[in-house]
Amino acid sequence: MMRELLHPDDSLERQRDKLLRISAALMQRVEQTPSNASAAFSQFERAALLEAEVRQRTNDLEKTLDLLNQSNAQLAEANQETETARSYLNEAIESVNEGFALFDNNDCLVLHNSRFCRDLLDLVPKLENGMSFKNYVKKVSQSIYLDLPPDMSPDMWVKNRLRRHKDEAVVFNVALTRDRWLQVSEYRTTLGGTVILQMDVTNIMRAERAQREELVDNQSRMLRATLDHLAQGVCIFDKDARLVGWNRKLEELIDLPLPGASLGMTFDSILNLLRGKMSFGMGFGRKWLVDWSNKESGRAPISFEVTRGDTQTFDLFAQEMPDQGFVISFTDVTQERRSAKALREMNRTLEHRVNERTEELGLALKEAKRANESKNRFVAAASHDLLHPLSAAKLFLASLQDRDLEAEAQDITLKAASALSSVEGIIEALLDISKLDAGRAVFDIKPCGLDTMLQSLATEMAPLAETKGLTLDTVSSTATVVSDQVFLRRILQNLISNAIRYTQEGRVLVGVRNAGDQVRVEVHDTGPGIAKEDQARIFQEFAQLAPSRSGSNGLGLGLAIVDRACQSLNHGLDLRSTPGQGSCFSVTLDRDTRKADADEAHGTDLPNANAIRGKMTLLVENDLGLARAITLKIEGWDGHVIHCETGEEAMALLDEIELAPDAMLLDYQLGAGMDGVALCRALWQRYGPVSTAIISASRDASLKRACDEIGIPLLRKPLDTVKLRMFLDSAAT
Amino acid sequence: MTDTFRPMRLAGDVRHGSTFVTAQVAVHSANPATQLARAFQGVELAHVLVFATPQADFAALMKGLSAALGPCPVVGCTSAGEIGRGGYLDDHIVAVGLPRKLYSARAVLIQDLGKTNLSHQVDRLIQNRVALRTANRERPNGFAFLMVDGLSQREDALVSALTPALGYTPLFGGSAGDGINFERTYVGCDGHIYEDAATVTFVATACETQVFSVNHMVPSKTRMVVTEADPERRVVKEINAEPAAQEYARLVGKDPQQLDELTFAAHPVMVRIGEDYHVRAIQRMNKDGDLVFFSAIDEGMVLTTAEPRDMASHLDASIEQLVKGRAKPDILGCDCILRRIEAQKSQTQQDIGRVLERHEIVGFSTYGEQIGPLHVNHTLTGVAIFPKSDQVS
Repeated sequence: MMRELLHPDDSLERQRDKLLRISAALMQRVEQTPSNASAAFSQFERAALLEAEVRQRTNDLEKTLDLLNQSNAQLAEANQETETARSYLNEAIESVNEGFALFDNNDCLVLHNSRFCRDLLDLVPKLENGMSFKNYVKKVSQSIYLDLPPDMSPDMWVKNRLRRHKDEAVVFNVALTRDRWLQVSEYRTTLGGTVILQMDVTNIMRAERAQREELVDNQSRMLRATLDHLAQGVCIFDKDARLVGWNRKLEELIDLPLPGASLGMTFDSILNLLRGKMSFGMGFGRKWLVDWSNKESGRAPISFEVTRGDTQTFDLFAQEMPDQGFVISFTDVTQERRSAKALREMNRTLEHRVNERTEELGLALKEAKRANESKNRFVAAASHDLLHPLSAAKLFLASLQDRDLEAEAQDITLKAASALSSVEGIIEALLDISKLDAGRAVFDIKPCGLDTMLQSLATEMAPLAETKGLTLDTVSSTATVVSDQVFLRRILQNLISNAIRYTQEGRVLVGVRNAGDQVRVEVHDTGPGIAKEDQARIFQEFAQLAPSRSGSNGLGLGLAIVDRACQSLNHGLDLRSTPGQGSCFSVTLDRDTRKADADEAHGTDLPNANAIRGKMTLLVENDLGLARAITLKIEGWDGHVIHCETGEEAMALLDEIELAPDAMLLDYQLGAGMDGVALCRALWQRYGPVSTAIISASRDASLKRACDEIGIPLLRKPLDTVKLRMFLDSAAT
Repeated sequence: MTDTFRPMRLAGDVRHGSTFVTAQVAVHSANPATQLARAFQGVELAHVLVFATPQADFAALMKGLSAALGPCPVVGCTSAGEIGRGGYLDDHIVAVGLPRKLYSARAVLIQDLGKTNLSHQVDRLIQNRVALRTANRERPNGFAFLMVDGLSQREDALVSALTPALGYTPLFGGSAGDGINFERTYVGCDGHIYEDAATVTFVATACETQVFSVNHMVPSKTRMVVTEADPERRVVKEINAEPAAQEYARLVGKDPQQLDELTFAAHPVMVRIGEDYHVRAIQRMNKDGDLVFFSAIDEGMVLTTAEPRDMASHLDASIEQLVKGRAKPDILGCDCILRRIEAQKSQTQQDIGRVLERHEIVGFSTYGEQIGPLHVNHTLTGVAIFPKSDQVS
């Protein structure tokens, strides 16, 4: 295209010249300044360039405006959406039944619905979005509709509230004026904001309260019914010692309604009303009672007696209740007292009679003893006296036997000798019996081996059995028994010989049976047996069953001796017999269980193992638990316990039952009344120096001195059982 | 109130557009001023624009119109041809009336373009413009319409000076013509006519307005350099160090002896400024063999020959593009004489005419056009005024 610039016909020089000119023109143009430029064209040029630039800029501007419009449109849309969302949200939280508020993670209020804090009318206009939580709480605390507890200032409330705000989730109730209630719950949101919900729980609270009141009503109705059901009279006082309730029984018991008595009367005034009619038991003055009732709390339970005229007696028991009020129960004990009195009378009468009889018996016994003794003396004397001529007779007979006599005469001397022997035996038996009776028999108690004894007896008795054609079997035993050897042998010998004597055919069996600690030696026979009605009789002296049949020479003393000996030795003697079949006599002996030294405790003089048995102990102890424990212990030892809580009570009681205790356990600290030492003195004054011990937890030296002064032991609590036992034992003996 | 329309017995042609009223009358009819005034009867007018063939007695016309139309300001100029009902017109007087119902307007006369320090005029222009706007706040849209003496050689300077005074108001306009005689051109204002003058009419309306320019030239690859020129007189003496006309003829493949306006119209040259090409139209060849231009030139300028596209379809498409999606507008246009000549030469005058008619374009043919700050050639500049939907009459 540059070719056109030059004429094709131009010479080269011409071309060159032209090109030079063109170049010059162009260069000039390029270099031109505003001053030498042609105004019009340069204006045009400038304008055109400017126009182009403006156009470009306008384009850009338009594009930008477009974009801006677009963004604006989007923004508007987004705003719209936000607005819509916001209005949905607002609608939603408005429709919620509870007050709702949202605080962001900087604790600034973001939104709330119209129910929020609605009841705090003075707060509502102050609520504005963006307010801090602290500010909000402060304003709530200042609201006149907030019902602060009487001891809480608004600042304290604020402090409490802010403390709770730190928790993740918290629920609590807020009291508003006019008995309205809000339940406020706070929750932390995931973004660290806080949601507060307020629910009006007034109705729920009121319903609950009504329910509770109804319940209380029901309870008081039930209480009233229960109280009216009681056999005791009950009256209840509040912690200010004002009467708040009583039951019908009380009205009956003390002829209520008291004129002018009504709910709210003080205890003092009621006592005033009763003044003329009631008199108190010892130690319990009216003043003392009033003081007790006026205590604010910590009243110890008391019980005491009041009498009305001389017709009625009441047991009063007063006790504090959990709400620091107290209750007093009246029990009409008139009848009881009367019965007790009657019993006492009867007791006295009986004792009197018993004493009389005992005296009579004593006399009779003396008489009997005297008779027995004289009999014994007689028998002993007679026997003794008889023995001399008897031995003389025997001697004479012996000398006669020595002479050479005719067979007939010899026969007669033999018979005479036999007769004399029998008489000797009888006399010896009688002597024994009398000795046994008089209790003058001396026993040598020691372990005896049955084995040897039975063997020897078997040997001795065998010929006799053989003569009668009977079998004598002995089943021995290695047992060792405790008895007098000589007498035991005689007993067994007697039983076996009786068995042989009275059995016509069959056998006699001697055996030993084990019975735990004891051993039974049995003698069985196949004799005719002994009828029941005869069984007692046969142990009497000179009693014999069918003596002709026995064919013996016995006098019937054997069993009498056996009986007495067994009694004295404390051996059991039994008879079992079936007529027509046979009999079994058995002797029950104590087994010797000791290895080495036989203890001498087993004898007739067995001392009484339990001295306390049957003894009465007075226990004055105001600690009911301890008293019960001591009582149980003593009763476990077969003792009796009378328990009182105070000295005054003890004295009154002993007065009533008119019995002196065998021993006395007195607590030192007995509450408001007299202490243990004083009580001891008072009781001794009344009943003489009964064995007494003071029990006390006090380690005070002065107490020890006081006890020592009187001369009574001091048992420290906690009680040592051994010491207690020792004291009671010593008191019993 | 409705505009009443009374049919004319006389030869005045009236057309009620979407927003303004156009009337045209042949130059040789009796009392053209009266006829035109009558044509506008019944319409309360804010302003009247008049384009008159050089055949007319321009002074009498202006006087007559001013008298007839009373307080309504009338501005006008001589043309190189008219555009109205029928497309390209000759020997006509075309008047455009802006009804007060939709328009407010103010005209500013600038005299003695050659001597006046134009920058002093800026104040006046600004005041008038702002006053118009202030009085018509409900009419935010508008434009500035320039009519300038086409032989003044001062269009570039004028437009340059005007531009700062315009603010955001878009400017368009045309240079008054003298047919193809190039001897005397006039601008008229309020009954008087002036040479070496210009009128700036500020128009305010509530209707949407769009100022536009249409140019169907495509630059070719053939370039030339102006090696010697007289920019004051818009004369190019040498091109490529050869006599201008001769070289031009060579480059466009024409006989240098037979250069006429048809040639110039058919083979315009363009100067490139930035990305854009602007037509520098050749008026004539003078007796020295120089080329006289219609617009500013300078030594060292590089000119490129241009090839026209099909003017009719280009114009049609351009207007279509302009109007797209909106109601049918009224279009006031300043069309370069060279386009008309080109149309004649290529015998597309009728096609163009049809396009002009179809889009109801009214205006005049010019010795040059102004669009924004530029004085251009071979262009159709104009304004399209879109009616509001409730105002289509």
